[in-house]
Amino acid sequence: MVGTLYLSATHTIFVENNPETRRETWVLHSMVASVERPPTTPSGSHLVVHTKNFQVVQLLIPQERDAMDVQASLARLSQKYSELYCLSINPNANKEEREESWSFLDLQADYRRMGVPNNLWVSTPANSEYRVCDTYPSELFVPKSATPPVIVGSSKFRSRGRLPVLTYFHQDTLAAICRCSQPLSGFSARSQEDEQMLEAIMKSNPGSDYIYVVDTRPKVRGHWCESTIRILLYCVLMMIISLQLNAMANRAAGKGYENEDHYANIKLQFIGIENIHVMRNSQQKIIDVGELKTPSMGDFLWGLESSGWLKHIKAVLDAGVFIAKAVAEEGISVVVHCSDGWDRTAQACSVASVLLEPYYRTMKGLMLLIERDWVSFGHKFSHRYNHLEGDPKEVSPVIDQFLECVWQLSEQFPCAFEFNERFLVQLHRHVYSCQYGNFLGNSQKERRDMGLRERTHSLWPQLWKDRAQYANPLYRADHTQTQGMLRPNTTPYCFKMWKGMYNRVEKSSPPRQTPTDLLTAVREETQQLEEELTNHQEVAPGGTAQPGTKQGIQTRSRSAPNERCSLRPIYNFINVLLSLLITIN
Amino acid sequence: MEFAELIKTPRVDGVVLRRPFLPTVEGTLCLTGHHLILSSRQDNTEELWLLHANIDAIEKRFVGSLGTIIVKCKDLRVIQLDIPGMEECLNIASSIEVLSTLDSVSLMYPLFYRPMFQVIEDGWKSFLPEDAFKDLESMTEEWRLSDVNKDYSVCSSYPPLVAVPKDVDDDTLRKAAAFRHGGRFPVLSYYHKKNGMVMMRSGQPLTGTNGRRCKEDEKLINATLRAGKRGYIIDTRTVSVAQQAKARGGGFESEANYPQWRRIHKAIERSSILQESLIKLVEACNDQSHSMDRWLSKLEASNWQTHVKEILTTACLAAQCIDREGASVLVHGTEGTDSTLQVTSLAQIILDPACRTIQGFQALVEREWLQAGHPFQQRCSQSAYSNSKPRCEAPVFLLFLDCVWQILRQFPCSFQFSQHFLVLLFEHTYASQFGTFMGNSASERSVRELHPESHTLCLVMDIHCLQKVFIHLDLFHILSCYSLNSTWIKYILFLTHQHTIPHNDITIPHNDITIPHNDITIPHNDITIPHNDITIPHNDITIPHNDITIPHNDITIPHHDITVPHNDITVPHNDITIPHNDITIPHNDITIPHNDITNQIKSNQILFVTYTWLADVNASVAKCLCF
Repeated sequence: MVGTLYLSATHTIFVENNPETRRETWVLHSMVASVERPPTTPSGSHLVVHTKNFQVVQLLIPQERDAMDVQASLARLSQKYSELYCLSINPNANKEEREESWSFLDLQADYRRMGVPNNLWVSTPANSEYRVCDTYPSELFVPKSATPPVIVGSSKFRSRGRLPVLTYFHQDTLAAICRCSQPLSGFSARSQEDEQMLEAIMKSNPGSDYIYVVDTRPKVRGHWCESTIRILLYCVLMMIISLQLNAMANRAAGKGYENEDHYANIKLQFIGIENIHVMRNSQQKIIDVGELKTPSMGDFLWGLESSGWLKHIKAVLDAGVFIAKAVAEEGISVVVHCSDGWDRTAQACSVASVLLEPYYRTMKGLMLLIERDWVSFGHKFSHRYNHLEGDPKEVSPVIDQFLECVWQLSEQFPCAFEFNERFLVQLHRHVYSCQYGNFLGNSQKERRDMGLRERTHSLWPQLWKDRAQYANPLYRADHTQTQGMLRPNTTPYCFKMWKGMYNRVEKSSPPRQTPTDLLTAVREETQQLEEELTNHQEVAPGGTAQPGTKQGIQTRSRSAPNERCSLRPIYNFINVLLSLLITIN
Repeated sequence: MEFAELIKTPRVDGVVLRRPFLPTVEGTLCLTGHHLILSSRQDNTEELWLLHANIDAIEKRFVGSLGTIIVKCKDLRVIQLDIPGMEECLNIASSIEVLSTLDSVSLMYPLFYRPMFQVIEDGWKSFLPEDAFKDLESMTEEWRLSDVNKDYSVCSSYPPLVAVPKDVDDDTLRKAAAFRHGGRFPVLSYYHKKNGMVMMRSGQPLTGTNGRRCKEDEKLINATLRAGKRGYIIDTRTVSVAQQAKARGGGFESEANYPQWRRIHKAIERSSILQESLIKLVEACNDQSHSMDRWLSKLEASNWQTHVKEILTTACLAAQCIDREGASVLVHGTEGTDSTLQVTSLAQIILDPACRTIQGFQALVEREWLQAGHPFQQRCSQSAYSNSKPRCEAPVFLLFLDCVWQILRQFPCSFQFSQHFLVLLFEHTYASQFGTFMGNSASERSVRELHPESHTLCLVMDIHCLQKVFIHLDLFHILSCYSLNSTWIKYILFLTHQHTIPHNDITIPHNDITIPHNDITIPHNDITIPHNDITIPHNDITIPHNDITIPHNDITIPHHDITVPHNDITVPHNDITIPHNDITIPHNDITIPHNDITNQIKSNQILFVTYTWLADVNASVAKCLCF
């Protein structure tokens, strides 16, 4: 394609010269992950733009100097919050709409839907000014028996004050999922308040006499988990260097997991989800696999294996399955933590919620879930998704993995999800794009301080408006798959590479046959036909035009001879459907 | 020999059957001459009917007096039987071992099997070469049907009638046959209507080390070329393998003697390597460690998908030569009965939409595999679990089915059938009540005069397919009706519950696993379970009859015929056959899948379709292949 490249304040825009099509390609500056400039060739200078959602745009610019300018501009743009798209577009234009957009989702309503607060769990004002924990939301739900001193004491014993609080309540079994960060237990430290807190959590589930404490980090040899080992090494190192650095070593040593001797009635469970650094490297490798030009089968499988990506996805899903089973089948409450309780914990809790609760498999439900487990509980969006040039070691595809888990589930349960793959891809895009204010900043407090609600729009109503294009035609709210808990098969061969995400270059080139799109179209058309038919049809006594009921159908076939012409298209149409359904599975 | 002599214990009570993903069943185990039957004698539980011929290997284990037999089937299922009593268990195990390894053709089940449904059409005559040739005649006059092989004297693995160029007489054919491996002289495999190009297949030329040549052979294949046109010879072996074949009297066409042909070598492996690959793949699928790394590395080590990719690439190349280059193609490997057939049949699926219908696919299998002399009996006598040393076994046909499945996955709207149809075929090649896949060639089947004795599969497949059409019809309504009434839902739930978790879950080569689960889109499948042919269907048919009245009187519909089954258990087969009459529709009227692709093809898009595939296969098949 030959065309003109424009750089605006927010977008790189490419417009095709061909006057008939004038196809436009827009790339948001904040979506640009990197710009490479391979050596100049006689025909001009290449620019390869990698976006954060794994698309690649190749540009050939005739003048080398122009290419350098473009590269420099792209590298410099979007480095300040104020330059981000969501803040730079004029947000005051429609104030009412904006305010409305932020009230689209109501987290409190979601808690109420779960039946919280109730006589077991209550809301606590302890964190209303973010004093107990600045990365938690202002409103927290804790066991009714947890007194303010217990709450404060427990938070002091937890890394960054992230004390155990409720995230999901299962009404049938009264079991709950709670989340927190690791205890600062080190080698021997303990806190009575924290022990009381876990005790209170156990007691708020009347049917059980113990709780699970799920540590989502890999357990390294014996009883040491990842961080303890690291600390041990660190201590040894410290001692060698200088005995006087004890204080530092102690500070570093103050982390770990609950000691079963100190906490009554807990069962510790380790689930090995690797840390953010491992995940970052793993994702880079699977992106590389997706970009391989002509891999042999061996190359591809080897790449897939050595990336370890599917292994990590499986680990996250396994964690969710464990929690969901504990809650729904055993009726045991679960406390989930990793190190800081905002990455792996968020993954495990939200996957468990999707498995447990049909509501979270709808579009609105998934939005709420992300809003609750990720946005409100202080997942560090700006750091993890590199909204501004920051510490590269903080970047990690944490929510990518959650979205992929949902996708893997939707492959196994095609009728269980209200949304399709596109919805997940779009969510993924906006996590990175900064086009809306939802995912800016690292915590609720930060977002409040930045005044994002006043300055930006919310993504959710926008997605909701376009819901027709995100709908899964196979979804049926009353189908068995959509009821109750999902029990996915997590044997390794059930996991596939998400080509819609990591192999997009290819997907965009030849038009693929997608039965779901076809089915969606067909459904719409059928609806029209049915309506038309109902209009034509004499309404049989008693069998008022209800297309689909037995009466309706029989009436139709009886009255059909008179309406052969109008039925013809339906007949053709049904044929289409037939074949479609044959092929769909 | 009487079967009774081989059955030491015909019946054991209190046997527990365990299958992955299915509830356990406790009941009575019976051994008959051909079947292992387990029935709980309750109405609502499914019975297990397993052909002895389907048993690949068994393992015995004892815990106290409780014996366990693990039965590994050729269709890759693994089931476990807990048998109380050590003696009974040993007796059962040894009987199964003997019964499952009987070699004698005269004892095979297809010769005993009498269908309980009314045979309304002789399936053995459904896809005769004469009929196929009639179609060809309507398109071109350059070909004739030769009966040079009428007593199988020229080539024992060819059918009595073969299509050859009109200008070539039978004498030339005989001489050319002497120059080709196994007497498999080049014959017509496919005529491409769009540009009149053809695909032929043969055995390797017997050039030997001293470069023999055969004028008649050259004349024969040159007769298929238009003036001034060049053709392609696709040799499915690599150059070095083809070179080595010279030492054993084989070889390939030299440029000097075939100046009008360009030779291309591909690398489809020999059958023994494919068998090893299957064994490794099945082992990977049954791995209990549940480790992702192990699964992927075992999958890679099995090389199965490498074979799939190579076969697909070769088939795409053939299709491209014919369609894009407008050149005729000759395909051969060594014998011309394995990789050659994979390539020719896949190329037809790529090029010809008719092959993507149920009827068309059956015709293709009949033409390109059964009549073309693929040695089914040799290739499928054992499968992946067998402990005995493989002789000629190889999953050649299974690989072909896998390739079709890959295409189906990429072009889900272009096929009339679903993957279950492919699985059904796979199962029947290894063990079946029908004689379709018995023997190694048309000549063997006719010498044994199977025809009057046994029945062929195609007819039954029609019935199965019809049921599926019904079910899809209903499914369609489920999905498209807005005011769904509860009967529909009940019905669909019934179907799903009834048929969830196809036993071939374990079949993983098609990794159905992802889908089946408890997923509504794929209910039917298990109706296909062949062994008890009649017992199952009645359930499925019972319900629709009211509802099926539905859509359009154009289908003058079967509902009358179907009304009966209800509470009957044995009757249904009668009723099922009848719809067959009325509902020839699926094949005639439901031209859609057909249309679908024809549309594409008419608008120059066949190029595109082939092209796409080629692009895919060349560029990224690795990523597209599903596992």
